[in-house]
Amino acid sequence: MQNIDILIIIQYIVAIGISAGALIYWRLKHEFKGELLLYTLLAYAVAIALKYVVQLPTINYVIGSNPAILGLYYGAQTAGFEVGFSYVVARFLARREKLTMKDAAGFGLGLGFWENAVLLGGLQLVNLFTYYAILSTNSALATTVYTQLSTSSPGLFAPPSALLGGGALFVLERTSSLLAHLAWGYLCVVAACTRKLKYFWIALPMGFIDFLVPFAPALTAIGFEALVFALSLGCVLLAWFITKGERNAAMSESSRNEAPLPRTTGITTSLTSVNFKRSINYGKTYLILGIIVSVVMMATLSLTGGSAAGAAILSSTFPLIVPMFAVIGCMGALMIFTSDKVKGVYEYLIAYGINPFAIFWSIVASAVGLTCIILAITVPVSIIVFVAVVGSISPVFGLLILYYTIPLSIAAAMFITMAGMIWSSLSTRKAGLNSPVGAAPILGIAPVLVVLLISTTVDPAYVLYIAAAVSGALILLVILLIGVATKKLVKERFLANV
Amino acid sequence: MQLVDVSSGYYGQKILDGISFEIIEPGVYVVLGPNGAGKTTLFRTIAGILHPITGEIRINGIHAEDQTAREQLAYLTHIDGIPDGLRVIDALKFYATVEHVGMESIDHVIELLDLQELKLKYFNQLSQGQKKRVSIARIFLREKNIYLLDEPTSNLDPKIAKEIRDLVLDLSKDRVVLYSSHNLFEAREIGTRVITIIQGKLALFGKIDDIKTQKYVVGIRVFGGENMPEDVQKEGDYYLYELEGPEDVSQVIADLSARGIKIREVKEMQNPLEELFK
Repeated sequence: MQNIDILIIIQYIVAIGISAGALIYWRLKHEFKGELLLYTLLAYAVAIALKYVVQLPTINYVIGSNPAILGLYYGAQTAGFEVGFSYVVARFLARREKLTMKDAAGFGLGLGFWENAVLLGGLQLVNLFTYYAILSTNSALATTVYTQLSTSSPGLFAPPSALLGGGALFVLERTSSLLAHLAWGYLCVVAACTRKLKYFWIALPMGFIDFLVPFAPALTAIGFEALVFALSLGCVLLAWFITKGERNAAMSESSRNEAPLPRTTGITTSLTSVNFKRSINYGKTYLILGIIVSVVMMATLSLTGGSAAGAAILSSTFPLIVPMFAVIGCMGALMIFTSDKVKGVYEYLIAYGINPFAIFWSIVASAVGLTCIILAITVPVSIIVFVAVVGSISPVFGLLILYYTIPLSIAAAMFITMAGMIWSSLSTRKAGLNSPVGAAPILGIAPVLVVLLISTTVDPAYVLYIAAAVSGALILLVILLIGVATKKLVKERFLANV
Repeated sequence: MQLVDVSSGYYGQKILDGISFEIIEPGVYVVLGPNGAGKTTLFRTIAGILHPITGEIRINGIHAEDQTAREQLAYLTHIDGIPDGLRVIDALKFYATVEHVGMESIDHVIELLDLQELKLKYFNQLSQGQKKRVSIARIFLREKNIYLLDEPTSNLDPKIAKEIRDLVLDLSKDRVVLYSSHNLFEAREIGTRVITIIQGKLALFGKIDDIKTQKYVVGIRVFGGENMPEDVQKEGDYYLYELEGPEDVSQVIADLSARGIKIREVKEMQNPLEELFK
């Protein structure tokens, strides 16, 4: 049975890398606010949801009609919803002084990131990985999946010679999309910050780039993608040149207000890096415990009942329990938070202008870093042990590691760290509950146990989906909690003696 | 710095009520008030740690909670705020990272606060006075326009306290320093203007000469204490000496040494201010 060519997966990784890379580069270079990503998610998600709501009952009336009508149908929605909501969100934030001209390019790149790296890139990449893993198994499920895919998406099984060209066009298409989002996102922020609606009226027609979609067959793939790229690039250049005066005005305004001191921006990155190093040192006992117990567990399982039985137990059981040790091993990050709060460190950090979002994020990222350390040791060691015992990698073992162990470990670590921080912030010293570290591992392994329990009652084929769904839900919950806690927790909650 | 009708406190409960003043000229502005008057709350509110319940604070015309305004402020509170488990040098590196300054700044504050011998020690191994020096070092990592110093010399021996005051006086030539103290003698030595807060309200914003003077009190902790004069008052482990000023401390130490008494620690005591406001 033929598997998906790895080139297809690579083209997605490249496209995601371009969108994510541009965003990260701009973040490091121009240090826009981290919250911007949440704001752009809001603008983008609402627009896409509304597009679906409109298209669901109406698409059948326009599909197959005149390409110009269909083009207007697509273009009007992109312009109205995507560009329109970008402006609405930007205006809302600018009025509350949450958005400045400095954030304009970051806003546009954020919109492009959600479309290309997440909705059309990341989610599809997860699907492709799943297909790839299932088709590697030669099981009944693999045959069913192959039959379905070869009918619905025959392109997935095209020869490498055909894939190379298609891959390049796919990357070009995603780059064009990134540029178009950058252009209208940028203009919407400029319009919102300067209160000059003319920039919004210039951005609005840029959404009509989707007008060209129905004409793709007539233009041929290369012609279509080249035209879209040229137009998208043109949009960016237009946005850049017509706003030159506004940029200069914003820069001179900023230099008038600025103190004769270097700015302390880009703090999130530095704080995360410092806290990650500290969390390794501070929580080394938990980290070592997490690694040692999981390795010992692995050795015990692999030796249970001879090599064949040991391999079976190792492949089916070990990946399921690693997330529990990851939760224990990531406690160093939460310990840093509770200790810093008690020691009054946050009083100083807030005075330096670091907002709670940066504090929460640096701790959650540190927890993810600690989890990655555990996974980076236990996963390769378990693969080596598995190969030593069985002689090759079992597809089930690989699938569990990829879709269960890694996402669930990271998600559970993020969840318990964030939950612990909120607990610590809401507690008082008088209550004696300021350190949730003691109870956190128990709470943290709860989602892992829930998935394990569900796994025993459902068809094994669904276990991966359940694990992925729970992981995704936990990560979304953490993002939501960071947003809510940043917004709702008063700063007194971060002080040591209040 | 301009405060307009600022009320502030914790969890919506007012500690400060309707504070308004404007500071235009550089210099040391001593913030005085009895315990619980709201001095720390005032500092926290100006530093952007507490959001005013009512009113507004502006720094050079910019809203105090704006990042540009925050970057002009240095803040020191009576809490050390040093992350746990760090050596002195690593604690300074932590704050240098937050302030985006390099090793040159760290070397500068190590020299300035005489921390050379302490830099490799763990922070929790230091004495109270040494901890304070490290804590103070942090505010000199980067130059600022406004310094908010909440009791910077508490728990320090007179020599170090004097050095800190000299540093503050040096700063105040072209910067604004808000300096809270329980010690009126210290206030008179360092500042010419005073902001007095009583029960959360602004009682006086004026010259320090407008308030009465008080004695300079030092506490001396000794080994043993059998030979100590009987008429010396004691507060905890400290024998209290009322002096005219810091210049008299060396004479007291000489007298005690002549009696064969070994001195363990000398520190400036917090002089209660309640009587000032009667």
